[in-house]
Amino acid sequence: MIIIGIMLFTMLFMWGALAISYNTANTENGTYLLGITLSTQYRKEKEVTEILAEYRKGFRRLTLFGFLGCFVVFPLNRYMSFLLLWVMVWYAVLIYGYHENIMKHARRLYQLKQEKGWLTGKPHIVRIDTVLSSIGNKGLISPWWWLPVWIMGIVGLVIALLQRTTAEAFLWVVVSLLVAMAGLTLADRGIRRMRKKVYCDNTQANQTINNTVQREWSFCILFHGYGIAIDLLLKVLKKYFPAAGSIGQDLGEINGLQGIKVALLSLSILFSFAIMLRAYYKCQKVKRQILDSVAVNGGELYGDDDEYWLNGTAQSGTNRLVEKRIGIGFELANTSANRGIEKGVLIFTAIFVAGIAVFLMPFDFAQVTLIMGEEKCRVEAAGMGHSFAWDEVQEITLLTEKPKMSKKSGYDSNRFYLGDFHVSGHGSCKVYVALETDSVIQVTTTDEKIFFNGENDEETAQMWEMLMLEIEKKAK
Amino acid sequence: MIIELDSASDIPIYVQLRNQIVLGIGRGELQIGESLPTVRQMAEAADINVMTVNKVYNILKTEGYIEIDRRHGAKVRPKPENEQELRTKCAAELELLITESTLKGMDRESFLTLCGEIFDRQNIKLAEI
Repeated sequence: MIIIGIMLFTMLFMWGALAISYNTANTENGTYLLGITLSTQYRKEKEVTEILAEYRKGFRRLTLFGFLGCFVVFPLNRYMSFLLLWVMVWYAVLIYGYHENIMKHARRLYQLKQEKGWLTGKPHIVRIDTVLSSIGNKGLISPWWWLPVWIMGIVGLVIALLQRTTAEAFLWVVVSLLVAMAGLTLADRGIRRMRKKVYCDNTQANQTINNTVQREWSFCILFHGYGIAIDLLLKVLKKYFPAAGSIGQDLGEINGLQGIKVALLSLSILFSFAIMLRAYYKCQKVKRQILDSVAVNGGELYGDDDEYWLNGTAQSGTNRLVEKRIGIGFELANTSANRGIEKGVLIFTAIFVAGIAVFLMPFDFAQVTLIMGEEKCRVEAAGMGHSFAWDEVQEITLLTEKPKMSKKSGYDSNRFYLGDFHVSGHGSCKVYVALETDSVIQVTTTDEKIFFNGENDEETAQMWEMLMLEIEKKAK
Repeated sequence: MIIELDSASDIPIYVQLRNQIVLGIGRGELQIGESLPTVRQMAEAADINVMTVNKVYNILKTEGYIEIDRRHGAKVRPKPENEQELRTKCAAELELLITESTLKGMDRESFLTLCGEIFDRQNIKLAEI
C-alpha cells in the first residue's frame, strides 16, 4: 500500500506542478498573457478574451486527463514495469498537449497584436543598458557558498569509496546525489551568466529587477544544493557508521511507523516547492511594482521580443538559461544547441525509463521456484536466487504468518520481497517471498536463515512437504 | 545609456553599435570619462560575437572617441581632430547628405533648421567623479 501511496503522490505532484506551471499563462504573468507581451489596456478586448477562453478550454481538458491518469496506479499497481511505462507515456502526452495548446493560442494572440498595432515596442530590436551590463554579478549571492556543499559531497563520496567493499551498490546512490549537486551547481552558474534583460529606460529599475531575479533563484538553487549535500552525508553516516549516524536514523525502523517516513518525505517535497513559489512570486511582485512605477512616471517600457520566443530564437546571448514566460523558474534558451540538449535529454530519459521497465518485468511476473539438487537446494525468483547445502540444514518450519520484513538490499514491491531483508525476530535473512501468500517456509542452516513461499498457501505447503521428504531421504 | 540594435536592418550590426555609441556621447547619455562595458559584457548583452565588439571598440579608438586601457577597459574620451582633416571629412559626408535631402525635396532653410535643432540637442557631459 505504501508503494501505491508513494506512486500516487508522486504522480499527483508531477501533474500538479505541470498544471500550476501552465496555469500561469491563464493569468497576467507580469507583462505576459499566454506568454505574449500585452499591455494591460488591451487585455479585456473581446478578441483577446475569446482566445483566452479557448486556451482555458484546452487547458481544462488536459488537466482532467492528467488528474484521472494518476489513478491508473490502482489497476496497474501489481505490475511496476507497466506502471513506469504508463507514467512515461502519460507525462509525455501531458507535456506535449500543454505545450501545443499554449503555442497555438500564443501565435493567435501575437497575430492579433500585430494586426491591431498593439506592439509595445519596435520589433527586431536588441537593447543593451550599458551601466547594467558593466555591473556584472555585483549584488548576487557569492559562489563561495557552494564550497560547504561540495565539501560535504566529497567527504560522503570518500567515505563511500573507502567502504565500498561492504556495499558497492550504495556507491551508486552517492554518485547519483553528486550528479544532482553538479546539475544544481551548473544551473546556478547559468543563472549568474544570464543575459541582463532591459525592461525599461530606467537603469536603476533594470538593475533592481535583474538583481532580484538572479538573487532569488540563485538562493533557491543553493538551498536545494545544501539539502542534497546534508541528505548525502546523513545517508553515508547511517550506512557505514550506524551508531554515529543516529541523527539520521530511520524513524520508521525505530517506531515501526513507516508512515512517518513517507510523511517527512512528502513535507520536504512540499517545502522545496514552497521555496520555489516564494522566489517566483517575489520576482513577479518586484517586477510589477517597479515597472508600474516607471510607467506612471512617464518612462518607456520595452517588451516586444515575442517573435523570438515564438520562433524559438531566444535573445539569450551566450547564456543557456532564460526566465520562463510561462511557469515558474527558468528554461533552456531555445537555441539550436540547446534544442539538441533537450532532444538528447528526452531520448535519454525515454531509453532510461524503458530500460528500467524492461529490467523490472521479470520481477512483475516472477515465480518462486525450488530447485532441489543432490548436494544443494536452490531458491530462485526473477533471476535472483540463493542456495543452501542439505547437510547444513538444521530446521525447516512452515509458518502460517509472515514475520515483518524490511529491505536491506534487493527488490521490494507490493507483490514480492526478494533479496537481503531484516526479518523481525530473526535478524538479517535471505528472503524470496510472495506477499499475497500468508504462509512462508523458514529454512534454518548453520549460518543463516532463508524465507520463501509459493504463489499461494497450497503451493507453499507442497514445497514444504517436498523439502521434508528430501531431508528424510538424506537422513537415511 | 540604452543602446538599440536592429537585427533586421540592412546596416551591419557593428556600424549600428558604433553609431549608437557616438550618438550617445553627443546626447550626453554616455559621459566623458565614463567606462563602457567590457568587450565580453557588451557581446553577451548584445548577443553578438566578441570579435564584432572588438572591431567596434577598435574603430572608435582609431576615430578618437574612446580610449582603451588593458586594466580599466574602454572609456569615453573624445579627442579633438585636426581641423582641416575634420572639415574635409565633414564636407564629404555632408555633400552626400545634402544631395540626398535636396533630391528628396528638402529645402536649404529646412535643412539648416534641422541642423540647428540637432546641434542644440548635443549635451556632451563630463562624468561625475
